[in-house]
Amino acid sequence: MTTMITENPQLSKIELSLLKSKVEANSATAKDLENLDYFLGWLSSSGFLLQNFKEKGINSYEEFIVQRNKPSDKKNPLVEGYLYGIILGAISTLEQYLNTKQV
Amino acid sequence: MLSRSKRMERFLIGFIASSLVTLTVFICYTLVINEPGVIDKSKMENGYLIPDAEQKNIAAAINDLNIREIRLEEKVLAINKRFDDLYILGGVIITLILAISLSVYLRVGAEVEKYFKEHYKHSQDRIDKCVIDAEVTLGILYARTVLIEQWIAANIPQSNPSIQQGQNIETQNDHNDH
Repeated sequence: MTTMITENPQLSKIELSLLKSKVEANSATAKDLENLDYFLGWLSSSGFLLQNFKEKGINSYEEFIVQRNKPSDKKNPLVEGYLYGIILGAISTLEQYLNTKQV
Repeated sequence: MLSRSKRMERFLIGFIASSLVTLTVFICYTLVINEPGVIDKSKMENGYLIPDAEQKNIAAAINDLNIREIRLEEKVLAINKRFDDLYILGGVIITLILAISLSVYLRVGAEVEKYFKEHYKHSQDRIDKCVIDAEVTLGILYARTVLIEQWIAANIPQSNPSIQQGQNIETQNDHNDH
């Protein structure tokens, strides 16, 4: 997706679906989240994800990935669940946006 | 020497006195004979009292009364024994019921405590999972709400000029009409 942003800043529904699968499988990287945040700039000001991460005390995408991969007894599952929901909500909103654009 | 009249007087006095003594002894004897508990030897034979018909009836009646009394006492004793048995049986039954209730209470308490200890972690995990799911749903709704609001807000300025243009056209037409 990095090349996609730098060279061709387009996002297809397939790529978005793949990203959603990676997030659900907890295999998404910090770069994937950064790219998602970039594409969210289509809907609002960019940095929506990072802004919400910072509101919950997480200062970067890498820190979120680290928090998410921690054992369940060493992390706050509520914060992680909330931010995970925000990512899924952002992806579903982007899907809706792409559907609207195609129509 | 006493005169004849004096002799006669003394004889009469002696006769009256002896008569009184005899009468007194007879009366006393009669009273003693009729005294209860004193055995009339005339009614004894070979050292045993010979009961007459009336005494026989009285003795039979007394004997019958005694037998009835004994039977009544036996019945009372039997009834008391039955009551004792009932009391003992009732006590045993009540004790058993109390013991069963107590054992059930203690057993249920122990079972509930054991169940909670065994399933507490499982229940807590389920509750935590529900809370996390709720947080995920809350995050989804929050993200969708904020992003769609910003999306709409970003698109309104593009549609506003046309609206404003339309309003300007309407106001211009109003001015022209006037």
